[in-house]
Amino acid sequence: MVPDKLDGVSANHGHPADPSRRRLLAGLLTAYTASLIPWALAQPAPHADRGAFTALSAILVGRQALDAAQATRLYDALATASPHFPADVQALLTLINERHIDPLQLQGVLDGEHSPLAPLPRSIMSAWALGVVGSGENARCVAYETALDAVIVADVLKPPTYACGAYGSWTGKPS
Amino acid sequence: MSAELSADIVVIGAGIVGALAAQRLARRGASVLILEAGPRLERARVVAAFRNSPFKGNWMAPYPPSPWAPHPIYVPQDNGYLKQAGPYPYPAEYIRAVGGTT
Repeated sequence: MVPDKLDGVSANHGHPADPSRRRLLAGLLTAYTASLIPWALAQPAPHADRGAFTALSAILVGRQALDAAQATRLYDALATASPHFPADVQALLTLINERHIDPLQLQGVLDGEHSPLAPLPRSIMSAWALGVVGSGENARCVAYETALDAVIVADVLKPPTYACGAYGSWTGKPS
Repeated sequence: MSAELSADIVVIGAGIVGALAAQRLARRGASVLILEAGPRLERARVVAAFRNSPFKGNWMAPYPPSPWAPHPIYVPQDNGYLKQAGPYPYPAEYIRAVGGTT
């Protein structure tokens, strides 16, 4: 159910920074990109490419905490869809590092320069926001109720339903 | 199907028309057999197909066709199942399953 997943997504708030995580990302980030990422977000990433993806994702979607399992699933799907994806992620992170690009200006900068990396932020953000990777026949649904479009509005949005309550609530006799 | 079945009347298709016709015939005392090409849809599979579809706005996504009983699919691409020869072709949708499209 959605509330459980929400707990999982936001469970990293307030945790102390993980030293192994810091070491892992130390080679990838400068003081500038590190300053964009709240260290509390990080659970240990299985390897540097995924660590870079999680770091870049945090910068792009502007969330304090991203679910590590979902990050892994999205990363795997994106890397399967595009063989250059891991290298592109590293390249974009390096670019943000070197030029101190404000995340809010990033897409405009890349589009303006006709950078080959220009599609990357959109593909990463739509993956997080919609839970869908790819398009057309290659589209894959990786997440649904834990995609950010559902998570961000979950506190106010009440989807219309004919169900009288949570799953299984209909098994009890009416009082 | 290993069993050999026989009936007074065989109804082709377990959609609403077939079901109502079969019910009326059975109430009149006839033995009735309904044949349906598609599967009996389980609610959990319908929900799972919706959740797993990358096209949440495609109302047919929860009802993927069976290989042995195809039906028209237009998202993400026309599967070419329905050939319309009339003057006003349009992407008609229907479901081949117990209960039919209804």
